[in-house]
Amino acid sequence: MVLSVLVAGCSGGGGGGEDDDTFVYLAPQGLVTEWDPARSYSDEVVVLSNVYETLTRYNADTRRTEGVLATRWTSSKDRRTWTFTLRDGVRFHSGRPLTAEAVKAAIERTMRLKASASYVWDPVEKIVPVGARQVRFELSRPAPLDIVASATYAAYIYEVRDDAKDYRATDRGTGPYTVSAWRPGSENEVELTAFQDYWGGWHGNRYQKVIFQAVPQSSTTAQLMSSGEGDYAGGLPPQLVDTLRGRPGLSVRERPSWQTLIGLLNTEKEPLDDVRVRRAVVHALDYGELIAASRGALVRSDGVIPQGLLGHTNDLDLPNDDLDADRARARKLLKEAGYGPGSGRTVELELTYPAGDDTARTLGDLMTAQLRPFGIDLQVRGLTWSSAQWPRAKKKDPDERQDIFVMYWWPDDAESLSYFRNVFRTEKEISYNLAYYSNPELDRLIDRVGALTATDPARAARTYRTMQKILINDAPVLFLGTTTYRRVLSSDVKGFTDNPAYANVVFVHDLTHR
Amino acid sequence: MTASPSLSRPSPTRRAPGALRSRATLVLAVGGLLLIAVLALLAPVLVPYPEHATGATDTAQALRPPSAAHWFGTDELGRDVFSRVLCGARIGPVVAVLVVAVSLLVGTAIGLIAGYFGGWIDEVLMRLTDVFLAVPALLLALALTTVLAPGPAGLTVALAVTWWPWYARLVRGEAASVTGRAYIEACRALGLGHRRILLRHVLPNASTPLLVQASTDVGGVLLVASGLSFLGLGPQAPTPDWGLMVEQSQNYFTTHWWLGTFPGLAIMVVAALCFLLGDALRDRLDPRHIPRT
Repeated sequence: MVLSVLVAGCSGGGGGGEDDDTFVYLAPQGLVTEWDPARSYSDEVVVLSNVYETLTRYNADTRRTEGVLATRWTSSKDRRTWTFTLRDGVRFHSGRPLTAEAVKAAIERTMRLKASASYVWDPVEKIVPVGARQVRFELSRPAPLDIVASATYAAYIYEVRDDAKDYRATDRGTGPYTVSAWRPGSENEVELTAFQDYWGGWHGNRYQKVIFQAVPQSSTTAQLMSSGEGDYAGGLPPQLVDTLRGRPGLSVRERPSWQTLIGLLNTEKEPLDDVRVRRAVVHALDYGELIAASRGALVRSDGVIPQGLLGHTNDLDLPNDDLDADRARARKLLKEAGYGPGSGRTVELELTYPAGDDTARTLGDLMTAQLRPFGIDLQVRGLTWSSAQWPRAKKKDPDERQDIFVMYWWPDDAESLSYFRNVFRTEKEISYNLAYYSNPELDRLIDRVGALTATDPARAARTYRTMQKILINDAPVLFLGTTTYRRVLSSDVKGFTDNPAYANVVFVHDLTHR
Repeated sequence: MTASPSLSRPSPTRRAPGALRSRATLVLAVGGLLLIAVLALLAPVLVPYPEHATGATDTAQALRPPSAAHWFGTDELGRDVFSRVLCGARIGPVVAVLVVAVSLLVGTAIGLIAGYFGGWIDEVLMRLTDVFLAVPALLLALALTTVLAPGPAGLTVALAVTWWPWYARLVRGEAASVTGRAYIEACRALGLGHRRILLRHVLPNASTPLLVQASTDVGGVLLVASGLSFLGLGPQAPTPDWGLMVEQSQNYFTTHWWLGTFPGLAIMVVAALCFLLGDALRDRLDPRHIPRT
């Protein structure tokens, strides 16, 4: 690390060591853990989205889907038959043309593997190629298939080949870039090179090369950005973003995201199995202070659904700024449940958050201080997500699990459904429902609302409202805040839009440079 | 002549300035450590914001630079860094002293027995010691703290387990070298018990190197303990442990220097005083050691 700082310092002052047509994406850690476009369900989408393409892409600003590999699509009135017309002249990186058969093969393989967010295709019953240029989807129930086809995960169209079980570091996509190098664990983790036959063409000053660089220390990232060595840093802590704001050669872009920070309350373990204690915790917290302590990393959440998605509403009965009333309510609830000052019983809770997340740590420490006057003793522990926090949450014995699980959630496609279906629907095997919450009434609504989104959006919005009210009433979750994306970019970069539908993805071909 | 007397034995004139300096060092080290001990003891009543060491926050005052109200500034939750650093003297250094005390007890007992009795007892005990010494201390402590519950207690146990073999080795050497001597034989002939011989006639020979080693080690253990805290394996937030505070200040270092600097300085000062004390003690007590002149 010392060495890289020195290098950055030596070459400093704009321009940088890389060629002008190379886009350098700085990430806090290695990105790729899965190369198979059908199985990818993690950070590697940042890479894969520049290699593979989907039929459509969701534009979060216009709130409409736009064509990528498909140019037109129509649906029957009952929204159970969808026909997509494919773009002419699209070739896979192998040189083979994109055909209706290829689309069918890719989506069917994704559905068959049942990995990643393949559930988004669940309504699809049959895929029928109509000639070489059209694909018809026949659904078992109505669904907004144009949105499904734009999903961040599990919606890539790729070349399925019998002999190609291994997708590692190869590309069978149609996207603007091909993988030229993958060095797991090293600084320049992935390198992409322009695919010259890309259907979108290469007119203008487009980036010919993309490097994804892993920089674990955020101070190093800031250093690389200010010396012109990096073109994009997406997740710097607020105080470092503030130091880079206004520097020559850099620009800072902010926008609210669809990434919400939630605390899931263990509904199966004492004392949070008592809904009164859960409600008391919800009301005892001072959300205004939590948001302020995040120093701009978070804004207040209005409920489960963030702004910009169907079903968002800001008039739900959440704890508001009337702190005294909320605190009185929390005390009363605790007393009813047999806790609180004078009862001789303390509520002992353990909160886990993904280690390394400064915002979550700060919030956890502050929550400890806020809950103490209520006789609630909160222990905060940062655990490595993959090796400790998540495995512990899935332990067989409920008593060995945490009381409050803090994590971020963002949707798999531009629908609100994933917040409910993945996090709050009854689960036979524990996956992301880490409140271990089960409510048959909510389950029924979750199963219905997807079809409603396609046929009657207004009714779907009302259903989402009911669903959020159920959750607020049962209180299995703390709405801690919604992330504000703060991206630091080199001023050389032109044409950047931050699309919350594709968390942390930069579609590099859309950009040009000076 | 083979060697000049001044080389084999310091002459009074050469020795004086060294002795003086070592005495000044000793006074500085003992005085400094005593002062820190008193400050640590009285920290809860001395510091301006004792509640900031136990989890209370004051977000309205977050990230203020050092001032008259907050000598060392405030952290991201508005907690007074001075109060936290001073109260932190009750954690890291206490862990270090406890680790050394436990290691001393266990290591000395094993070393004495091994060196005095010799034979198969010596073999078994020393091979056992070698097993512990074979694993790098930091690695073993790291592995143990991940298994034990994170906190001062777990940290103390993990470090004591890795530290005792050094004392066992040291004491065993000293014990073995005196056991064959005539005066020990005489004690045996007089019919003295093993325990009395060990404690009254063997152990005192090892006391000087032990004392020197122990005082230096308090500093060494503090550094390792802070390192483990830095990795998140020691006391958990909101405990004002120095290593933990340095860790949590990482992303603030370029923008809010006071968050990590003061706990870091605290670790440095205490460790340095311990090393000085060890040095000064060796200069004064060890007849074989020639003080630097």
